[in-house]
Amino acid sequence: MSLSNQKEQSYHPVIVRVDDDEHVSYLLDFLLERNGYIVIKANDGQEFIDIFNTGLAPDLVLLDVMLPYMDGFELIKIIRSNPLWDDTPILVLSGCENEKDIVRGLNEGANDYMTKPFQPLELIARIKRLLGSHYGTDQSV
Amino acid sequence: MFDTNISEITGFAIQAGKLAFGLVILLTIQVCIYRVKLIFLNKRKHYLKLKWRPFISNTICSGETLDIVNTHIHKRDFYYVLEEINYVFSAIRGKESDRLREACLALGFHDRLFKLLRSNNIRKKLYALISLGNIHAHQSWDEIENNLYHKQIIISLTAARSLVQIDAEKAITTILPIVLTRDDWPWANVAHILKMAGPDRVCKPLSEMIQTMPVSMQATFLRLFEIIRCEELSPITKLILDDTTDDKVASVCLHITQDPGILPQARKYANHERWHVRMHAATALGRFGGEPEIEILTLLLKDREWWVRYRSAQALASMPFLNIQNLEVIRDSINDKFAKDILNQVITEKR
Amino acid sequence: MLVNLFEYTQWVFLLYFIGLNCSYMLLNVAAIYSVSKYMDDKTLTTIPGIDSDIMPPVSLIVPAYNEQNTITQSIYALLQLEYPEYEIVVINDGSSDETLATLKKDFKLVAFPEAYRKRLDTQKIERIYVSKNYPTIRVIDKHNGGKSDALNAGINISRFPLVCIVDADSILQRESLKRVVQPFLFDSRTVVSGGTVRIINGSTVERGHIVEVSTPNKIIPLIQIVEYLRAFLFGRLGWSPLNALLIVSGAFGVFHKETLISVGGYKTNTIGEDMELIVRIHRKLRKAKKDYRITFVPDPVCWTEAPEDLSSLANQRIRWQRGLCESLFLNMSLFMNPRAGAVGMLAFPFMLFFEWAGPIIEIFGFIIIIIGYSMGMIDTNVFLLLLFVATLFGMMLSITALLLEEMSFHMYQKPSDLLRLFIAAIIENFGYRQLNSVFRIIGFYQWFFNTKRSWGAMKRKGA
Repeated sequence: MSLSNQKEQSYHPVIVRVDDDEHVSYLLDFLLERNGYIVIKANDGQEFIDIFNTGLAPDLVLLDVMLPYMDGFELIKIIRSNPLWDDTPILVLSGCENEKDIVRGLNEGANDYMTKPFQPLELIARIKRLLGSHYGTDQSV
Repeated sequence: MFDTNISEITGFAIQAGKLAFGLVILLTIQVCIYRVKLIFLNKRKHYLKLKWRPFISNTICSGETLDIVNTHIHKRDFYYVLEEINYVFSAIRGKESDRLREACLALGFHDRLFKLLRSNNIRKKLYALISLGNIHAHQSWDEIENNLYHKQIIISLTAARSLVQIDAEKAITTILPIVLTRDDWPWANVAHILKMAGPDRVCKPLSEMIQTMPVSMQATFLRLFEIIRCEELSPITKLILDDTTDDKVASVCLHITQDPGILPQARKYANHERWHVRMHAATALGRFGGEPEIEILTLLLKDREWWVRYRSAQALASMPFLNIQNLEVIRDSINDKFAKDILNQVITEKR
Repeated sequence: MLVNLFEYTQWVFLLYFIGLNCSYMLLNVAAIYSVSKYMDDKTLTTIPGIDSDIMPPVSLIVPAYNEQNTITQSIYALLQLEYPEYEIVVINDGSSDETLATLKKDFKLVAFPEAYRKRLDTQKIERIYVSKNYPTIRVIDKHNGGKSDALNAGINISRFPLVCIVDADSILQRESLKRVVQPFLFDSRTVVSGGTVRIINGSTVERGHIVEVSTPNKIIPLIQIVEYLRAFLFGRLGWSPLNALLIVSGAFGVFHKETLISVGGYKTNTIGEDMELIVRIHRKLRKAKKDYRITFVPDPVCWTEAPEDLSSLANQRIRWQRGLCESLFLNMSLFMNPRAGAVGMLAFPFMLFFEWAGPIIEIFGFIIIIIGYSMGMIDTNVFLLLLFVATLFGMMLSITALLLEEMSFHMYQKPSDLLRLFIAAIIENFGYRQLNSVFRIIGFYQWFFNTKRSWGAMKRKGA
């Protein structure tokens, strides 16, 4: 059984992946692409800001917390203060399992939070749920 | 002995010079060798990265193992492949990591790792222990267990960690008695390993141990309880608080307890001669106390120790039925300058 | 008679020289041993071994004196550290520029009525501020009292059991704090843990992070890279296993706060306050018969700018030598004290003979030889031979440092960088080292004739 799900042939949602760990990044990109998403890669806070400044909002942001240049919490703040990106779902995937951090992430405006080590299947399920609630009407077309 | 002439100095200098020159040449060659090795290593690593990362990711995502299974992993590449795989093991969990585990077994990792484990080289042993733990190598249990007694802390701890990964239940019965005897194990690592095993398995045996162990070790073990988040924590702390005479143990109990039933003891300990006991008593009073405790805490605000004053002020501020106005009333009612200052600080913090 | 004098001097010079180099060689051997052991142990730490819950909280102490242009960037960089729980205490040591105003504006500071405990005496504190957008940042505004005084004020206000002394103008790797705190976890006797400082000149820095490590084009900083490799890799790694480390860099070190306070904190009227503190910790803890550890983490974690011109270099080295002289003489009771163990019997005498008296003997030897040569009492060949041997020994030590670097961290990835360091290791023996000895003699001289002077408002940044 493969994880891949290519129901929406016509539309490939775009995900911005922000993570500075090359091993994890490789795995994430592989996993996401395999599941039919288009992945825009950012390896640190600054690279994300460069993507952010192009103005085009993706369908979802997959974010690590501990990042060089700017941490995930700050990035969430920036994303949420821009009207174009305002309702882009943010999924935080972080190494900190500290409750304080989880609460903080959600307070800043993240939509969901997962901790490492993570289950790849669960990640995809959560991404689908976030995209589903967002594109609920589009998908039924 | 100073009856020497110039030529003797010269001779001596020449000898020393020759020695130094020889060493300079040798060292230079050595530096070059290391550098050349490094260059080749980096090239090889890059090649292996391109080959193995897709394999690992694919295995995890689909469960299909590609033809790579039939490829032989050269001895010198083995460590690198292990590193890649171990890294991924540390990042994922669940069903998908089982897929990777199966692939490793299919690749014949187990026998190779078992051989590595028997090596006397610390580094090889470490690689073997970490990897055997990651692939859940039940077959190697006894050999790993032997390493629990290794004199190198890092080896023994890694062995403990691997055993927990392989079979947490069985590992705990083996490891806990050793924890008592190995006072060279840093408790931070012990805590991590026990936490990995999970509170369900650890807490009960731990709580039985803690009541019979020497007082000198109790404080450390109580802190383990807190980190592992054991439910048995509160009953134990209450039991211990009742009859301990050791101030360190008392202060740890007051610090970590979740049991409102210790309130009478906390009141008693608020007058203890050691400041750290008073400080933790103040925190406990704030956590469980009601209106009657306000008076004790207000007294503690005048304590000679800064930390006691600070924690008492924070305890007052944390009481759900006191708002800022109430706190200000308390502040204005006291004459002691130190008490006023500290309460003022905490009120500002609360705002 | 005169011939005899020259001859004895030459012998003394030569034997001293060989003694010095043999001691360094022994240190090298110890360092090679520690490096290979450390690299073994590190295998595990790169794989998650320690729970982030268990890392103890740390207070970062950042003294600032007239740093209006750089302070904001420095603090932003500190906010980027990979560490679960830490606070930042910035001390504005009575700056005459806009340091405080900059901080107020950039971090939205609000005055905070903190009832702190004055455990170390300091100059008057005007006010304490807390940042509104980063609640873990606090700023102390105090009257000028020099770096030590500022650090002591920071220690008073800090809240956590470990304090980390950070130089505002150095660049930290993100994992630096985690690495340097680790010895405290592995050995509960640890009271001080120091990090390795490297030179940043030539490397590329982007927004407070090192992007590429490389060597500078200028010769003075290039030689200093080799010097730092030597000083940190075997100067410290060699002493660490004996628990006889006498220097922990002031740019990045983590201290057990209670120990720091119990020995009296930083001494305010010294120049080399960081070295003096470490020597004093050794002295006081040895005297109290405490079992303690002062450790050193060889990973390159902290990067600092080296002086690029001769006059700044001279300033720095003169200051270092004065600091060294002061530190040794304030703690003289360690010397050859059998109860002080390896510190008293090995490290302290080593420092005294080779670092303190070294430059004098060296220059004295040079002068004697040159006089002897010009008076025709020393043969040209012998003269050249002695110089040549001296150079070879110098090269040998520098190349060992390169070897250690290649064995361990190999930060300089480009082969051309390695070649340049190699060349620097050779040419530093022709002029640079002698010049350094001259600077150190000046430092020695200033220390000798000025010991009683008090230091009032001291400028911290010489470079």
